[in-house]
Amino acid sequence: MTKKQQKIILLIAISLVFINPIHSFAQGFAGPSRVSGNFQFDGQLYRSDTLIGAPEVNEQMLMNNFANLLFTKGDFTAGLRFEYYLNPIKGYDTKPTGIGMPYRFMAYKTGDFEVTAGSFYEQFGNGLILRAYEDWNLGVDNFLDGLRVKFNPAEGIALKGVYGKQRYFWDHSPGIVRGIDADFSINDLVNSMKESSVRIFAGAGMVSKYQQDELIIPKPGYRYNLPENVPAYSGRLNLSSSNFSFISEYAYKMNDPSSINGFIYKPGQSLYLSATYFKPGLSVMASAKHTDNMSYKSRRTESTTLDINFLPPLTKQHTYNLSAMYPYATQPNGEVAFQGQIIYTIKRRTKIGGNYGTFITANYAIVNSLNRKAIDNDTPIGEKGTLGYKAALFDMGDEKYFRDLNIEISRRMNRDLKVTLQYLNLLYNIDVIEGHPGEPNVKANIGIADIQYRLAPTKTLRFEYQHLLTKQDKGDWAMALVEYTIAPKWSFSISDSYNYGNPESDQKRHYYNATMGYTHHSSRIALAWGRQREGIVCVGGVCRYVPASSGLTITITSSF
Amino acid sequence: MKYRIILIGLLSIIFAFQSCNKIEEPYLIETGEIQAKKTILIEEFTGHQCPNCPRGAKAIDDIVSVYGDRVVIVAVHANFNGRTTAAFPAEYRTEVGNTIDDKFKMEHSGLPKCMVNRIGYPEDKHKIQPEELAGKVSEVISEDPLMDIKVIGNYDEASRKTNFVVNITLLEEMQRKLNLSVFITESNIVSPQKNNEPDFGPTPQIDDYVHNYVLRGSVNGAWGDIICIGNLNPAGTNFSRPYQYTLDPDWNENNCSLVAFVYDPDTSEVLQAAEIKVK
Repeated sequence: MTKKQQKIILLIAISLVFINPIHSFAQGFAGPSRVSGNFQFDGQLYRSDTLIGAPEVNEQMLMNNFANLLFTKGDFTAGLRFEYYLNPIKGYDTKPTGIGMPYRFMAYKTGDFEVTAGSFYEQFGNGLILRAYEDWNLGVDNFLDGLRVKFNPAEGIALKGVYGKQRYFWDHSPGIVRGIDADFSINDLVNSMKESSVRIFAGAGMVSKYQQDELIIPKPGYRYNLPENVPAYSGRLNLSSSNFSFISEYAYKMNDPSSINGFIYKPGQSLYLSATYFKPGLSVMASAKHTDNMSYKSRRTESTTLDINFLPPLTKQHTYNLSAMYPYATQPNGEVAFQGQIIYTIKRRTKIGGNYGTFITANYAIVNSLNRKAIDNDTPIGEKGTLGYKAALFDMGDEKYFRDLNIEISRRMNRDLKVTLQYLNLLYNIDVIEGHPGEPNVKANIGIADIQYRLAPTKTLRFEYQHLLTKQDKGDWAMALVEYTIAPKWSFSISDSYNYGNPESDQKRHYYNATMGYTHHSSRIALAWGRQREGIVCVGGVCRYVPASSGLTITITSSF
Repeated sequence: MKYRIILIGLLSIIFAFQSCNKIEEPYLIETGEIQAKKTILIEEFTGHQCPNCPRGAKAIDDIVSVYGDRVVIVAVHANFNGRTTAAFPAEYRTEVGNTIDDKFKMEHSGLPKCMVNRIGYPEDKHKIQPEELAGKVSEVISEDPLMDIKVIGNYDEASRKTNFVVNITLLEEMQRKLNLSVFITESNIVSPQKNNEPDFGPTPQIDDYVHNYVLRGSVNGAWGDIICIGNLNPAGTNFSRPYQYTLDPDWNENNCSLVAFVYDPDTSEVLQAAEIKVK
C-alpha cells in the first residue's frame, strides 16, 4: 500500500469517527432474526452433434450452480454465496472451475448510517463510472470486496463511499477501486421547491483505480509511462414530473492506456441523455449517447472482465428467438447512439382499437462509429503511446455499427385471444460486434407473430411464428413454437428453428427444442432438450458467446 | 450538521486531488538494453485460424528484440485455431502441442496467450496476454539462474540426423525433481494467417505470413525425461543426456532449432532453457 493510499484510508477513518457517534452501534440488534436464500442449478447434458458443430464434451455433463444465504437480525445483515462450476458450462469462462464461496458480507445500518464489510454490489448514477453487478446468465460478476459506507447527513442528501478490489473469478483484480458519490434531492434541500410538481435530482461521483506500474513495451527500447491512479468523474441531473422525465449524466475519465484502447493516453468521456413525455395512451422517448474511450477496468491488460463501469445501451432488448439473434454489444472505445420510441394505445371500444384497445410500439435506434480525427499530421489515428485521436461530442462517424427499426402491435381480439405482431429491420456490423473481420454488415428483416389463446381459465395455448430474411451471415431462418401452459404449475413447448437459407447447403440445419417447466411454490424445474445454435447473448449491451450445443439442459431454481 | 457536511466536502476534495496521475508527454520512456542472466521459455499458443494471433506474435518479436537469446520461444499451434482447411492447408499442430494444451488449457481461454516458464500453474495464473508479456518476462528474467544448460551437437545432412548432448550444471544446491524436455522448432515458414488488425497486415488474412518458432515435435515426448528424482544435489552437479533425432523431410533444417529446458514436474515451473540451431 502506498503512502497516498494510507493517507486516504486514515482520512476516511477519522471522518467516520467524527461523523458518527460510536454509541449508535449498540442499537438495532433487537429485531427478529430471519434467514432467507435462493438457489439455482444449471446443468447441461451434452451430446456430440457434428452437424451443428457441437463438440464432444469429456465430462458429458457440466453444471453452474449457486446458493445464496442471507441472515437478517434487526439492522444487521450477513450473507454469503456458494458457487460450483463442475465444470463450467460451455460458453462460460473456465477460470472459476471448482467450488468456492467468493461472496460474503456483513452490513449494519443505524439511522442515517450504513456500513458493509466484505462483498457488495453498487452503482453510481447510471453506472458510467461505477457499477458492480452480477448477471448469472451472462457470467458477469464484478462485485467489490472491501468496505462501503452509506450516509445521509441531511434530508435530501445521500452519500456513498466504496473501497475495495473487484472479484476476478476465485481471486481479486490486481487493481484497487475507490469511489465516492453524492445524490441530492433538490426539492428536499430548497424550501421553495418542496411542493413543486417537478422533482429534481442531482448527483456527482468520483472513482479512482490504482494499479501498480508494470513493464509494457510498445517498441524495442521503450516502455509506457503508465498512470498508477486513474480517476473518473461524473455529474448527473434528473428531472421528473407527472408527464415528463429527463435523465442526463456526463462522465470523464483521465488518461487510462490499456489493451482495450490500444494504449492511448486520451481522456475518455461519455454523455447520456434521455427524455420521455407521457400522457394516458401515449409515451414518447428520445435518447442520445456519446461514448469515447470509456472502457474502465481494474487491470490494464484485461480484455474481457474486470469492468469498473457500465455503459447503458441505447438499443431495445429483443426477447424473441430470431429478433435476439443479432443483439448489439456496446463498443466502449467509441460510439454515437440515438434512440426514439413511441408507445401509443388506441382506445378500447373504438372501431380501430377494438374492445380491449390496441398497443403500438415503434422504436428506432442507430449506433455509428465515432468520427475520429488525427491529433496532428504525423501521428496515425489510434497510434499507441500518443493521445490517439480527437473526437467532438456527438460527432458521428461513417461506419454503421447497428440500426434497428421495429414496430410491435399487440391487441386482445376477444376474451380469450391475444395477438402480437412484430416487424424488425436490422443492420448489424458483425465485424465490429462479433469480431468477424471482413464479413459484410448483416441486413435483416424479421417478422414475428405471437398468438395466445386461452382454452380454459388456467390453460393457455401459445403459437409463435418467426421469420428472418437476410442475404448475409447464415442466411434466412424460420421458426415456429407451440407452448401449452397449465397455470400456475406446468408449461410445455416444442419449437424448431430452421436455417433453410444457409448459403452452404450442408449447413441448412434444424434446431429443434422441447421444453417442460414445473413450478411448485417458490421452486421451479425446467428441462429443455434440443439444439442450441452458435451465437451471442447480450443483456444491457454486455454479451457472452454461446457455442453450438446439443443435449438436455436442466434448470432448478428455488428460494425460501 | 454543518460540520458533518464541511468535513465530507473536505474529504471529497482531498480524495479527488489525491487519486489521480495525469501523465504528460512523452508517454514512452527509454529503457535501453535490459541485462538478464536467466534464459526463460515462452510458449506462445497460437493458430493460423486465429485472427487475433498476429498481435501475440508481435509481442513475441518485441520481447526477442529486447532480450535476444535470453528468451527461448516455442509457438504451439493449438488444436482448434490450428485446424486445416482448403484456405489454410499447412499443418502446424503436433501431438506434443495438443498434449501440452490439454494440460494447461490455453486455447480454452482464448488466444493468443503465452506461458512464461509455465509460472502460475496450477493456480490458473499461467495464461499471459500479449500485453502482459513484457512485464512478466522482466519479472522472471531478473532472477538468478539455478542451473546452466549447454547443448552441443552436430547435424548430418545426408541422413537428416542430429546428434547432440544436453549438459546441465547446477549452480546451487538443490533438492527437487527435475525433468528435461527437448523440442524442435522451425522458423520462417510462409503460409496464410487470419488477421483482424490492419497494423500487422492485410485483413481478414495475410497470405504470406511468416510463422516463426513453430513447434514441430519433441525429442523425448511431451513431458521429457526425468533427470533428478528429488534427492539433494550440491552445486556443480552435472547431468548429461545424449540424444539423436531425425528431421522430417518437409522441414527446412536451416531454420530448425533444438530447444532444451529443465522444469520441476511438481510445479511445472521451467527453471532454465537453452536453444541452438540444428545446423
